[in-house]
Amino acid sequence: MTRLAVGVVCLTLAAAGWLGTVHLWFTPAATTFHRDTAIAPRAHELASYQLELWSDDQQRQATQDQMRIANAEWDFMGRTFLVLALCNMALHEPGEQERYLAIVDRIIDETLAVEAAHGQLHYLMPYATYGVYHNPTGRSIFVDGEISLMLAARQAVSPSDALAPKLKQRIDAVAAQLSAGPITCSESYPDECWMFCNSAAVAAIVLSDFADGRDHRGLIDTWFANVRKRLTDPETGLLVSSFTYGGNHLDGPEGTSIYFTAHMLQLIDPDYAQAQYATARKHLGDSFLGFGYAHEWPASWRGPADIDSGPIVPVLDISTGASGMAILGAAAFDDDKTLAALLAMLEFAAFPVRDGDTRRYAASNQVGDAVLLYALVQGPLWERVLNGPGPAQASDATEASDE
Amino acid sequence: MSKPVSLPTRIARTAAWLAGSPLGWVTVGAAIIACWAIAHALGWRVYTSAFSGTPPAQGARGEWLAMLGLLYAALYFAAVLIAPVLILAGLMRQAVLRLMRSGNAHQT
Repeated sequence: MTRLAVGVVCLTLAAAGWLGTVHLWFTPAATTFHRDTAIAPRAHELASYQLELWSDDQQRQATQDQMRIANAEWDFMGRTFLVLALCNMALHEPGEQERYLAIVDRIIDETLAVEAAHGQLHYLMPYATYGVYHNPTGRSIFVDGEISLMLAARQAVSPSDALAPKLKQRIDAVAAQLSAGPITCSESYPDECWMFCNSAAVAAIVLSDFADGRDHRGLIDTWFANVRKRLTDPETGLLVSSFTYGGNHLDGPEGTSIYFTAHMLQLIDPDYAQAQYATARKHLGDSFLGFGYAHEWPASWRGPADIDSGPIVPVLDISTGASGMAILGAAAFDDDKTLAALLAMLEFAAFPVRDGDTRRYAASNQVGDAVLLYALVQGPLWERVLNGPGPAQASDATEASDE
Repeated sequence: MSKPVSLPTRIARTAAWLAGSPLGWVTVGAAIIACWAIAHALGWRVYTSAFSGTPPAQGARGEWLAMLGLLYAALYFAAVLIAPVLILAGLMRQAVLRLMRSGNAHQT
């Protein structure tokens, strides 16, 4: 009996001691991953892997093909997040700007060439053909919005004469799609609008206006007012993730959507964006044994896991996709404590793979790693836009002072 | 001449030793870590891409590799979360029982 009691006590003490502190083994020093004014070492390693992919066509093709087995969107979104990351890196490290923007231009050129050759369907899931778009243009705001975002981010860093007309044309298409919508939103798939895609499209307009000096403030204000009025979940106060063209809610607030959306909204209304992030963390954020993670759905809304959620870990209800996006949210809103807990989970459960000076996560994929890279280097581009003036306004001011 | 012990009896005795003795716990903890180390050496870590919904390869081969990835993850989590607890508890229990025995010996 004594032996058994000793065994139980020892097991309890060992479990409490080990499980209570195990997260400390995996919690990285914050500055190894994320720095406000520079690129942290591990972000550099992640970038090296992504840049290596874009210098090896065969490896990149294999990686993209692997993702496309599950979801063609990931091939496309991996490009968007990498472009956004590289644009921020170009601002972090002006001495490397030329090198980073050369890769950005290559990604954009290749993305546009593939779209021209195969159409928007190449970047969409097959059900894009199962219905008819209500939008008169018949185009997907997912594709047009993110291509605009890539082009606009590039132009906001350093305007290129070659890309200026392409950006203008794409923004005009996006603005036309949004303007035609009953609630100033457009479809990613037939009669299926996503907050993720619409907020990306509107952020692209803001970046584009910054870069070329045009003014879409009226459209942006209308969009934002409609979104707040028509697309807010009454239970949580968070923006819903998907809705019909007419504005009927399809899905409630979703972890894979809301953190990104809040980040995009920083360009439109920073206070509202901050409130959305804080509410998302309250309803979707969680931790276990010191490891941070995010749920896909709040307790008040139980929706199905879609392809972007990644597998949901039962019992704890961990969404791998939402947890990745939560890293972007925590980094964008300077929530250091949450970021540290999420990074501890990343290091613990995402299986880092180091090879030379490159880093990736085996449990992730190219788009997941690109989201993470972007989360860790974002900041300068948004700051540049929010603090203005843009290149067009700056040159106007210079001309005026010369006169 | 002692009576030969049947295989089921041997297995039952070994299981009882592993589950009940301090060194048994340490042995189980070490065995878990060894299994994970073997899986790691075999390169199964890369197959955990299934966690992101990305199959390691196309078709039936992809499903098989995803299973290896899940097995790798199970061994890894056991090696990080369970094995250290068993090893620590086993060593603590061994030390306590030894102290108790030496205390009893002094008394007698």
